Amino acid sequence: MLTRLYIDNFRCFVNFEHRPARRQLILGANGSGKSSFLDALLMLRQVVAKGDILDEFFILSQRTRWLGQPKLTFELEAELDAGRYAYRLVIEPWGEPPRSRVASETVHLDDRPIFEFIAGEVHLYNDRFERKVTYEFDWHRSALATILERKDNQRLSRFKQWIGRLFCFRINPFAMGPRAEGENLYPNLDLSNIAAWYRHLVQADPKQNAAVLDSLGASMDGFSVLQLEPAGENVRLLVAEFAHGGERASKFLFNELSDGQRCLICLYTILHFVLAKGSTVILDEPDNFVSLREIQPWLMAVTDTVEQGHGQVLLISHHPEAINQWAPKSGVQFVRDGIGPVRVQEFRGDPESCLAPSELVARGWERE
Amino acid sequence: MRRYLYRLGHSRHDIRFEPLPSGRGCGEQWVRERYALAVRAYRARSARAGTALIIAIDADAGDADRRLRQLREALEQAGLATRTDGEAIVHLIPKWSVETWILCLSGRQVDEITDYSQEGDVDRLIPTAALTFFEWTRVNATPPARCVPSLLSAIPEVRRLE
Repeated sequence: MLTRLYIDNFRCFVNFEHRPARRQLILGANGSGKSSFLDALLMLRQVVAKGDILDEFFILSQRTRWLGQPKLTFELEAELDAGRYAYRLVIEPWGEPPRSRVASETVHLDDRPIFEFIAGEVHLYNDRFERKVTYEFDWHRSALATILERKDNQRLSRFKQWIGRLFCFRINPFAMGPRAEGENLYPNLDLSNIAAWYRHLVQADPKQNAAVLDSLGASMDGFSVLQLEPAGENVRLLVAEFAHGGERASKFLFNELSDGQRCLICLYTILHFVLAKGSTVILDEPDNFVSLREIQPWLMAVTDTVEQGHGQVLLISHHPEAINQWAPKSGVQFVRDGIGPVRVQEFRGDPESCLAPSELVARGWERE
Repeated sequence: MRRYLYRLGHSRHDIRFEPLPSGRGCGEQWVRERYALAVRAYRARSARAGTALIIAIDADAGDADRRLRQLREALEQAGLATRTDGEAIVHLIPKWSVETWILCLSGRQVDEITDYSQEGDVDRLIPTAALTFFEWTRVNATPPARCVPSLLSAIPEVRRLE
């Protein structure tokens, strides 16, 4: 699981450190950095696992405005079966006009180096922590992204697999369509490729799909099944089938469902296909479109999954249901003084007033 | 409690969980302000649909009788009849806090003199503790001698759910 994230000189994060729990609710006022936290994690994931070049993220323009400091630093720590991994990426401007490049990128396992990319030079280590190979590499992208799994780098590969299974979501039902023109191995941030991702998931793990359908059956009246129906060469359409009593079933294209129904399908897909498989999931306001009746059952299902030792979930939410359920035991607040840097505080509540956590937040008393 | 209800065959959609704000005196305040409302809602609905009301409230430093008295008084003040034997209104009142019960159900030798509310890492014990609670509360089951009195008194309470 993700045990630490450190960010320096990125948007509102200056010397920022957060040590998330296995299940955590992130609270905070608008502009307190919650969504930027997710963006930072997503960027790291895309750079390290997907191999995106740094300039695609316009990263230099996202440096903290008032700091005037050239370098950005990101650090990730994860506790995995092999031990404690620490990843560090330092980005600096170079050339005219300035482009972003990797000043250093390192991975340590229990404080011992297993990968280094410093000043344009990659140093590879084997599983016995011995430095084996050195070569030059393009400074404008992560060198770690290009390392292939081999017999002698299993420790490093384990970290790469983990970061590849770091999932960030900002669900947007308006962006979703029913067409799947192939299988997508990874979901987009807004799940605009839900049909193609779901197509991949049901192929890869049909057993989990049964759990998704069960959960959806309990959450949507009359829901019976999700199907991928052929619609041309290699094209499938994501269709939901509903039936009432003895009536004939009716089929609806995914985009004909309500915004809330589309979100529920996404939320239970994430729960059963991602979280239950042990991944770390960060969700930004997943409850926006979901009816009040459906939020608590989904939160309970997430809690059950995490308590059974599966996965890690960081939930960013303003919803009173989420706040009342999770804030007392698992809530942290992102706070800023004015437009200053972000700090993390444990949610304390107010033992004297006995007000519900969401009521404290609504009144703005939670920081007093 | 949630996991225990799953074992009884209830789904997540059957359960509505209303957490009590944490803090000194919040239990008393909830009893004063919310208990009578919850009982009124239960009675109104139970006439037309299967409903149960479960109140889980820490005894803290006092005893369970003190809490039961507060609950009775809250109903009296609201002009409501006291709880009858046939009503599925369940009072679960662990001595000090629910950690006492979780540890007891997990095989630890505990007493009701010690406050275990600050014990670390209790959450991971919850799934198996819930299963044990289910076993101990089955008809004809005999809880072991180490079962603390407040937990023992929960057994007839949860039978109200049958």
